[in-house]
Amino acid sequence: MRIKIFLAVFVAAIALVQLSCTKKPGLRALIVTGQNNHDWPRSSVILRQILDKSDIFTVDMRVSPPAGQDMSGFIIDFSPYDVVVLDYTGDDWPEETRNNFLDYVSGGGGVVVYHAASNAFPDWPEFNEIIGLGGWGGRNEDSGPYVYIEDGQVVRDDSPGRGGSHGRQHEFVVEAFMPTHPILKGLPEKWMHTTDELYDRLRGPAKNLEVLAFAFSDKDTGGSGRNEPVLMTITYGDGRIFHTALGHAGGDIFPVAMESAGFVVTLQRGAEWAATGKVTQKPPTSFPTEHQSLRWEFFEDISDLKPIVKRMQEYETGKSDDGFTILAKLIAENIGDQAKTEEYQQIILDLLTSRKTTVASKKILLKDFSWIANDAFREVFVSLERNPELADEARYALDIIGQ
Amino acid sequence: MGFFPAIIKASALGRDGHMAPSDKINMIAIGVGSMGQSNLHEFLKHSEVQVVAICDVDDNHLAATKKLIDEAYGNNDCRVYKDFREILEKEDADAAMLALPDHWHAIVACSVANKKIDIYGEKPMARSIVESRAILDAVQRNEVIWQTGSWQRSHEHFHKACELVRNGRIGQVDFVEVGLPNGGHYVGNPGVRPLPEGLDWEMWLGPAPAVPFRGVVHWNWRWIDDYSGGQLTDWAGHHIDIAHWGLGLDRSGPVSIEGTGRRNNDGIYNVFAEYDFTCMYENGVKMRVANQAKTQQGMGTYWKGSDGWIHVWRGGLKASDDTILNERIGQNEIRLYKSNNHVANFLQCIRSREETITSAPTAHSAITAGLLGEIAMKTGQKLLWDPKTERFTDNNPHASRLLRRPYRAPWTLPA
Repeated sequence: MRIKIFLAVFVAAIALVQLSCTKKPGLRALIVTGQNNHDWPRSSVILRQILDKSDIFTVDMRVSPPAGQDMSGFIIDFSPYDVVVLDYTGDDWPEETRNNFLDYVSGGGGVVVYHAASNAFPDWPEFNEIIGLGGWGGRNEDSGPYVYIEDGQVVRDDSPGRGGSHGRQHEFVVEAFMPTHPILKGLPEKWMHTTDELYDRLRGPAKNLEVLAFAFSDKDTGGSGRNEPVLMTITYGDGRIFHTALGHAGGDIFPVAMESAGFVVTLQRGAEWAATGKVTQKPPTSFPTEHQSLRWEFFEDISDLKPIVKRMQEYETGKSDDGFTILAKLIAENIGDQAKTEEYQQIILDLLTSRKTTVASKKILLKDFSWIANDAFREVFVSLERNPELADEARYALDIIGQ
Repeated sequence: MGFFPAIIKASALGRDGHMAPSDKINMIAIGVGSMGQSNLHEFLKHSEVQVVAICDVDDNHLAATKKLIDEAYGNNDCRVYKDFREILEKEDADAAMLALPDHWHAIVACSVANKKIDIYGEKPMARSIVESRAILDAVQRNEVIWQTGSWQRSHEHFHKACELVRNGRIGQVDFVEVGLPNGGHYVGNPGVRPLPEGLDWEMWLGPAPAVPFRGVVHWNWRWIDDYSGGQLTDWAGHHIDIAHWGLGLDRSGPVSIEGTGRRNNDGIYNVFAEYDFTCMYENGVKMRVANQAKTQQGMGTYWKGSDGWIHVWRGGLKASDDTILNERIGQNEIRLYKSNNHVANFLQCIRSREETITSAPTAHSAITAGLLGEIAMKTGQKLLWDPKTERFTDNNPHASRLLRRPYRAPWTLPA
């Protein structure tokens, strides 16, 4: 009998462990950053947030020593990962890390090359095969051809000249060249990107490279006058690489180029494709049109509040608390709209009265959202005051609305 | 002066309950982290001050600061406390230096003022408008000297800029732009961490909501809404204060406030990272306050008048025409309060019982404008404000709730 009970508890415990394991998304991603001629502390965090929002990746980050410091300890084992996201351009990695990287990619690993990562390692031939096209760092005709789209064809142009340039930042249309590729399938064929640096005249080995999408680099904005590739795939050995030239992060607190819905969605889908060769994510319900860019400050479509409310409900200390930021933003933006204000008040009330809502979540709601409470909240606050875990915060809320 | 330093409370010897000019000023310090230690370095340069005791909730701060003070005096006399109530009970002080996180300002400052101790207090005045008003009232009720750590007023080029604006050298001013630092510090969502040795976390939190320790305490508390309003409230006491001084509005406030801000998407650092709001004053002057990336002029204060403009920041002073900067202010014109040393000004005022260069009313005015901006951004509303009654003229129910911050038991604002 005792053994049976023990077994039952044991099995239940295993089930619980499995349950909690399944909560962690299955694909593992590693962001490599730490040196860049761009704002890597910001871009790397945003890349992580974007991948987190896809709900299919568990994301780790490796930050290199600062430029000019000893790199010998910067050893990375890429083998546990399904996809490695490169947000790095700077000092050479130690040989062991370089070898690990080549073994990882040729053995079937996935890679995402993000914006200025294509400026890295001009003198490392294998790396340049992996990224397909690169820019700056002395790249020229010896690095490989220019690649661009002309009359519906991919042109590989060996003419001499520097590799890598860009004009003034502006909004531009991204146009699918391979609309049926899994990364782009189901997305509009033309969409307006938010203000960004449009890389042009990239050049490199361009082996096994396919251009997924391009953008016209207008001479009027200081560009090349060509249709420049902005989304690409490359294969290297058994490895798959997704290369996005988009997403400049300069000194802005909130880089608009990385908040483009088009950038977010293609990055999430490109990372999944690089990791698995497939894309299971559904195309979003809202997307920029050919004429209108779309900025997603939270890297997702927040017009549907259901998943956001669910995140708030399940919040625990240490997990992302972005649901509360989204709600606070919506409340402030729509304060003049009574129906919307009532909708948000109801969301807060429902969360506070639901048994499924975590204590950590209720604490934040009582503390930071009681200022928007209406008369219906008072009895809820009073009843929460009887919960020892929430008494302090309930008293805070009661104090806010006036006894 | 004899061989031994004066250790009798100086005020016991002076007229009107205040110190006689010949005696040392016995000083205590509450809050001796980085800002507090930096202030004490200044006070230690003045031989008329004797720092007798310090208080902090972190043993590491106490040890470092005691070392600093004892080394300066060549003795081992500096007494240490971890509870401000105890230092106030046991020490007989003439003056106090306060450098605490904002959420502690009101309780401690009011307690110190109630003991009739003169105060050098760090900006911003307080975390909420009601708390700031409470400090101002306590200072005035107890007739103590108050100096705010808004030291820019004691620097020549800020003084000069304000005096030129006040005397109409750029004509009638209708617009002022205040550029403050960008926010956006980010640390993500750290989990619960073990408490560092020597830190009394419960006391550090004090009146603020009880939360587990997540690795953020000294210095970086200023990116967390429970304790601070971020760069905006941190710097309101500098460039908003200067804007008000130049406009002659440093004992007044705006009549309407509106604006927008943006926080980090997530994470423990949840103050406004970007902020941009406009205050209208009764005389028609408009003041825009924004993080520097959003402003035309960058950091500092920029007044635009009918005949030109003046821009002042820590790095310099510029005008639409250089001749403006060479203008002299005549005898019969407005002469602004002059101080060349912020700490010395405080010490002089302790003796003279005159108002300091950044007295409590001016500090209250500066932080009130900043906090009203914060409330406008939080609520999304255009706020209508009466600077005399310090209430919203339309009785705005939601915004009114943000004028104060509830305290966690057992803490209350001292009467």
